[in-house]
Amino acid sequence: MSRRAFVARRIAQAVLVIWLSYTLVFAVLFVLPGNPIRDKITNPLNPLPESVVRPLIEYYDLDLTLVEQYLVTLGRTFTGDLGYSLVSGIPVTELLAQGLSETLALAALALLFSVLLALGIALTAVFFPVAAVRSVVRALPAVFLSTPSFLVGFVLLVVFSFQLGWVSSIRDQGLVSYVLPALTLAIAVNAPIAQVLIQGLSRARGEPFVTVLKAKGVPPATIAGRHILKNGSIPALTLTALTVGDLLAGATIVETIFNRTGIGLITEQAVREQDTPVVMAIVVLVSTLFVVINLFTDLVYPVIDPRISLRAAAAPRRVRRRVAIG
Amino acid sequence: MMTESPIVVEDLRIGYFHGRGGVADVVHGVSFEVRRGETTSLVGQSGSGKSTIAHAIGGLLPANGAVTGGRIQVLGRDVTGFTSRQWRGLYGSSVGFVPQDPLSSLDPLVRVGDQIAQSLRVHRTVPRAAVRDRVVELLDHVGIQKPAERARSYPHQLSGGQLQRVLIAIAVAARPAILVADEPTSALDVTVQKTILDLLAELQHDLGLAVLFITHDLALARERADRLVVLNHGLVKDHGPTRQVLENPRDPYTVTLLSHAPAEDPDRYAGRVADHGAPVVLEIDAVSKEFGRGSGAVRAVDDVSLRLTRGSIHAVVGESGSGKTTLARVAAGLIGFDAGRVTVAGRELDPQPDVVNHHGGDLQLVYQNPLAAMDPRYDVARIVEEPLRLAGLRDRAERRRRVREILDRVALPATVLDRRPREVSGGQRQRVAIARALVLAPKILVLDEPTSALDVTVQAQIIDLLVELQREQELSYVFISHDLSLVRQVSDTITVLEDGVAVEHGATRTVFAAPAHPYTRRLLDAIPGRVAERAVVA
Repeated sequence: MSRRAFVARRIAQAVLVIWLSYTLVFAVLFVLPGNPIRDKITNPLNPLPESVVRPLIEYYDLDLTLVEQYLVTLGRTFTGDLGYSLVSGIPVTELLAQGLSETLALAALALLFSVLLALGIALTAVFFPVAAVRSVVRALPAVFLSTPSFLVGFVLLVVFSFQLGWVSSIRDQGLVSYVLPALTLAIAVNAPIAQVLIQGLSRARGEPFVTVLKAKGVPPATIAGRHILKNGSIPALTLTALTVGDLLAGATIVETIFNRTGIGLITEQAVREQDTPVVMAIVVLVSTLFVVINLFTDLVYPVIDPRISLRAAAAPRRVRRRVAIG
Repeated sequence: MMTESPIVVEDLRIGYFHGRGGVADVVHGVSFEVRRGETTSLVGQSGSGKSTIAHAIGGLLPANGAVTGGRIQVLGRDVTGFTSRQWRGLYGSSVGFVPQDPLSSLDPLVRVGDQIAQSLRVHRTVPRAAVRDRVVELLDHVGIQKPAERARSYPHQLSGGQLQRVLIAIAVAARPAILVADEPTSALDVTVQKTILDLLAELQHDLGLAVLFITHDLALARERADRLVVLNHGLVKDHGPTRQVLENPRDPYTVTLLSHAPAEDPDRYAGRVADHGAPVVLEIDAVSKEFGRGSGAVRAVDDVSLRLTRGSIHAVVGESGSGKTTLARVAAGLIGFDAGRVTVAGRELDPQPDVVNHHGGDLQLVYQNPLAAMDPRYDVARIVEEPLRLAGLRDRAERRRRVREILDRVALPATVLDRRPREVSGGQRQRVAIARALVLAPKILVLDEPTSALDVTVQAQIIDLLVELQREQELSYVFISHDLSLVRQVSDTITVLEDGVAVEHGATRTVFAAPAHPYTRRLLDAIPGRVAERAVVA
């Protein structure tokens, strides 16, 4: 299969996945008894002024049948019109645009921390000369995995903001303000990557080609850094791409703890206040991001591992991963 | 000192650390030397310590292994207590290492040319600018076609034989005086084995190398080594010039080892006579089987026919990829076939078999690797009992009785009943596999390389058992093997497969005495020992 045909096919698949997740959420939110949008807008507790309520009801065409509503909103979503928040009346695109840059910065920094943490943990756990240190570090991922984010975030906040005063918990200090939330997020997310990486490195280190490299006279650091690390990190790569979903999910908690207005906080509020158009938009956004990153990994795979051709990459994931490990 | 041998080993003891502070010696005082331009072979079974010694001489012992006594001298230097930093100066440039399994001995993510270049760069063997040309030259030297093109290939794009050539190129790249070859051909087909060993001999001659050749195959050592060191459980049992050791073995162990090597005793089962007038129990008639579809389709079995008469052993031989195992799976009804007819015990097989095998009582398959063919969480009793349960025998006590009876017949003690596959020895494991196959009292066994994972002594025991069972119960075997010496020993009739095509068949003795097809001749010529025999004649 040519590279172009492969990419075209995967993009078609990606679009299908996004559409399906959109449809599923629409069905769940709208097929419930009652009419969530009308109920929400006309709720006496809703603080929206009358001037905003009227256009909203018109916009959502609530007199149409369910299927017609679905087609209308789908069409609008497709053209980039994500509707209006039922709580504030602000266009959803505007709302998300604010939060997105915030969350993307947080997630990107957290991803960087996760990869660095996982690498540090795995390399120490496999190569550190003192056995006692190796076994302690080997246990770290399990500890990280079983420590809830709200606790980690809280402890970091108390130590670094309140006691040491290094980072303000209120003022926005630019990049520095991202460090604690990103670290909180990374501690939760890096654990599975570190575990898979430890396994991968241990397996790669036992491969006969390592003996041959040693017999060639290649320095141990080169063997570890260039050969074992590269071979051992292939399974962890797949996992890293998949944890992007975890990063976005984790952002909900972390942004709440650190009081940052990103997608996580917006999601939390939207769900709590049943702001249906916002929830729908976030679903589309997250699934798009997820699909795009996985598409990217699939394209990068053959570059790293020559044994995986695009033909194999197009095959079901289960088979492909076995190729990657074996 | 000019006269000193490149490798001198004196009273060498090697141990492995276990748990806290405990050391278990696996090599107990071994002495030998390897002279310049000569090959010394360490021969022994698994656990004899031969690989451990080879690794110690190459500075390649694992972290938990250490020399606990004696001395290793490499090119006049005492390397016994060398740290890995001290070894770095010797790796590759003094001692080249050829590993056992070429398929996993190269970094799969690095082009083979770059892996050879690494050797040259580490030791600055040639100027930086000349590395690329030298790589191509080395590949050409080890017999790789289109070397410039091949240098850019990744390991998975080369065959096992080509990979071993690349590894040999790596081993000699930095111009060492010593080559340590640890079972360099045990993972390769017999014809490829011959070309690789010929290459090693040629390089040894050209470069004046001292070669330490580790093998479990006595026939191979006989053919290739100037001197033999016979090892058992870390002790030297016999030592000296090859001819002397083999003709006048001093230790009974050498005698036993010799008698267990199929090549050394072709007529071991000659007393076994097959009845040629016996009825045919398995008939494969013009069977073809293709895998894949369209242009990517591979014809694994192409118009193959064979007949197995009751009480006989029919061998199927050929190199890996020749379709042996596919044929076995077709006969066992495990996979379908595209054309032809298969008749098992008078019943014609459906070309598209049911997923459930209803005819386990007719024919059973014994696999190459028993460990992979058993559920690791089942104990032996449950493994052997399972076919009975599947066949619908509900009486638990009766099932247990039959299991005990069959274990007795394959000479397994009742103590193995509650062990798991990992907890019994390799030989016992293959006995369990045979017991599982026999528990339904089938008439035919298809044995797919039943002993290729076993040591020669254990192999001899399993073959003895199979021959005895066959005589007692009038069983018929299809015996699949790449070991032609073994095939000559046990089989009555033979089919030779090449790329899925049966190029020759007939009585084993006739085919071995007068092979008609060039492929058969090539296979037979590659059997270790044959070259030596013919060289003497010529």
